[in-house]
Amino acid sequence: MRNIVQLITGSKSDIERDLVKGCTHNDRIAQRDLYHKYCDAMFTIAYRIVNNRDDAHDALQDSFIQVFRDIEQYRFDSTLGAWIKTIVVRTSLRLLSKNRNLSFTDMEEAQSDEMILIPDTLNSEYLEKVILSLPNGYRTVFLLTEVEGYTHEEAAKILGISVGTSKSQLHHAKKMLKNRLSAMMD
Amino acid sequence: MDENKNHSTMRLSEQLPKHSADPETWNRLSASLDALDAEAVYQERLQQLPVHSPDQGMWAVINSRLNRAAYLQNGFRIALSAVAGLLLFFTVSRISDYYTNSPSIPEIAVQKPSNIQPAVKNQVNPVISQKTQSQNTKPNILPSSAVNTTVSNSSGTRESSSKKMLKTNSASPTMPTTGNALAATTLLQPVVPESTIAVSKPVESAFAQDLAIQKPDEKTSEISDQNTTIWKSSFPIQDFLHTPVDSKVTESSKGLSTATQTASVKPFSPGETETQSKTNNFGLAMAYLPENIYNGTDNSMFHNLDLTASYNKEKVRFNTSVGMAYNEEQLEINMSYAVKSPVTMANSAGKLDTVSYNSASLRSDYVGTEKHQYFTYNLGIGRRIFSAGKFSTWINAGAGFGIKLNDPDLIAATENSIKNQYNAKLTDVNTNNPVYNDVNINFVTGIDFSYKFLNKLSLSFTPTSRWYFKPVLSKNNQATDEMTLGFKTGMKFDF
Repeated sequence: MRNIVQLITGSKSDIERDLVKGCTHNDRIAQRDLYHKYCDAMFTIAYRIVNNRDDAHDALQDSFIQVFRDIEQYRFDSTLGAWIKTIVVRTSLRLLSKNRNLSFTDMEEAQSDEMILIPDTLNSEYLEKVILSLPNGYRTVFLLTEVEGYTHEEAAKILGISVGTSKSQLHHAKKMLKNRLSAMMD
Repeated sequence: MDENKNHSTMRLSEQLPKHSADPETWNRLSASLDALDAEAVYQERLQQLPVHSPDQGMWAVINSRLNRAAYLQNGFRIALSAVAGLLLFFTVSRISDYYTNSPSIPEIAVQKPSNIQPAVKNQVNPVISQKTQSQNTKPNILPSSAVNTTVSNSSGTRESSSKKMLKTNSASPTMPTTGNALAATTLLQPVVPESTIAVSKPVESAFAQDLAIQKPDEKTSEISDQNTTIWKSSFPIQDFLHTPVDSKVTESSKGLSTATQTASVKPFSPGETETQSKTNNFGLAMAYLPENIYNGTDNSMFHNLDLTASYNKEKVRFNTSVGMAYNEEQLEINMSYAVKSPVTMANSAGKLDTVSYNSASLRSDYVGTEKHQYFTYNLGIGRRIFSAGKFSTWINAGAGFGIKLNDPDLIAATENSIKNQYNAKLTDVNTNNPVYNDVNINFVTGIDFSYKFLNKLSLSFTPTSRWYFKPVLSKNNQATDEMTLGFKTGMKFDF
C-alpha cells in the first residue's frame, strides 16, 4: 500500500515519480491521486476550449483514460502537468472540431500588439465570459498563447495551422476582446 | 591640482549648451508606463481567471471505464488463452493419433495379430511372386486370385481382373484350382488364433462351398464360373489378409460371402473386449497441489488437496473434483494511533480531577498470521496423448472455482486490541495485506504423467498451470497474480 505520509512529505518530483510509477503499474490509488491533483486545472482548460461543461466532462474523461493508458510513454522531459495538459488540449480540440465548426481563416499576418485595457471593476468571471464569447478559432489561439503560455510555434503545431495564421488569429482575437471590453466600459 | 581640475570642469559645464527634454516625452513615457501597467493588469487578470471543477462523480466514471477496459483486456486474454489451449489440445491429439495409428494401413490389417502375418506372408508370397511373374509374361491369360490379393487395392482394378478372369482359358498354368484354394485354406487354417475363430468360420464355410461345386468333368464355361466362384470365395481371405473389405466387394461376392460383410461391419480385433473394459472405466484419485500465488509483495503458498472422480472412455477422460485449499499468510501491519493520557489535579475537596488530556502519537509494527480456507471444485476433460506399457501421458484442461470458507481479519483484531488496551484512536493503518476474494474462478491446464505400479493403482505427476480470471488475491481491485504454476502429485484407483 502506498504510504500517504511519504506523499505529503516527499519532494514534488518524488511525488510525481511515485504517481507515474503507480499509474504505470495500474495502481488505482495512484491513478486516483493523479486525477485529483490535476482534475481542476485540466477541466478548466477543457471547459475554456470546448465552451461547454458536458463536452468538457467528456474531454476530461477521454483525456485521463488516455493519460493512464499512455503513462508509460511519459519520459519526464517536461513536467507531468504540461504533459497531461497537452493531452487535454488535443482531446478538447478534437471534440470541438467534431461537435462544432472550428475553422481558422488565413488572414494577413498582423502584429498582435493590441493593448487591452482591463478596467479595475471588471471581475475575472466576466472577463472569462468575454473570452468564451469569442469565435472558436480566435478563442482557441487566444487561450493557448495568452492563457496557457504556448508559443505561436507550439500553438500552430497543436492546431495544425501556420505560425502566421496563429499570430493573425491572436491579433484579431485581442482586437475583438478589446472592443467588447471597451463597449462594456462605455 | 585638484582645485584646478574642478575649476576647469566647472567652467566647461557652464560654457556647454543646455538641452531640455521634449515636452511630449513624459506623455510618451506615461503612455508606455500605462501600457505596461495595463499589460501587467491584463496578465494578472488572465491568471486570475476562474478555475472550474468537474462534477464529483467524474472519478467514479473514469474508474468504471478503467475497470471495464481492464475487464475487456482480461476477457480478450482469456479468450486468446482458451483458443490457444484448444488449439494445443487438438494439435497434440492429432499428433498422438498420427504416431499411434498409421492412417494409410487398412483397418483390418492394423488389427491383425502380429503372429499371423509372417505365416501368411510365408505361405502366400511364393504364389504371389509366381503369379506376378506369370502376369508379366502372359498378361492376357493371367488373372488370379493371388494377383488380386497382392496387386489390386482398388475396386476398379479388381473388377477389371474379374472380367479378365471370365475370359480365362482353363489351361492357364496359373489358373486357380480347387487344389490351390484348398492348399491356401490348409496353409492358413493352423495359424489363425482361437480368438479369430468366430470371424474365420464363415470363411471356412465359403471354402467348403467352393469345394462342393468343384468337379473335374465340368465344361469350360463352368470352369470359368468355377474360377469366378473360386475367386469370389477366396476373396474374403485375401481381403482378410491385405485389403480393406468395404468398397471392394463385388455384387456377386456380396451374395456369397457373409464373412466379408461381417468383417466390414465389425472389423477383426482380437482382444478388443478386454481393451475396452480396460479403457472405459471409472477412477478415483486423490492429489496434492502446492501453488504459489504472488500477493503483491511476496509469494503466498496455497496447499490444494482434492478428490477427483474420472470416467475414462478410450482416449478421453472426464474429470470432476472437489477439494480444499489452505493458506497461511504472515502479515505486517503498521499502525499509527493517538493516545490520550489524562492530566489530573487535586480540586478544592482534595480529590483528583481530570483537568486536561495529554495527547501522544505512537507508531507500532505488528506481525501476525492469517489462515484462509477454500472449498474448490473443478470440472475438466483430458485426452491421452501417449501410452507405453505402464506409462501414459494425458493433457488435461478444465475450469474451476474456489469459495472462501472463513474470513479472518487480523487488522480488525489488532485495531480492537490497541483500542481496548490503550484507549487509543487509530490515525493510520498501513499493511501489505492483500484482499482475499470470496470467490475465485480459474481455467486450468496440465500434462498428466501417469505410472501404473499396480493392477488398479497408478501414480500421477501433473505440472499444472492456472489462469485466474477472477483472482484469489487482489490489491486496489487489481489481481496480484493471474497465472500460477504448480506440480500436482497424486494416486489413482481404477475400478
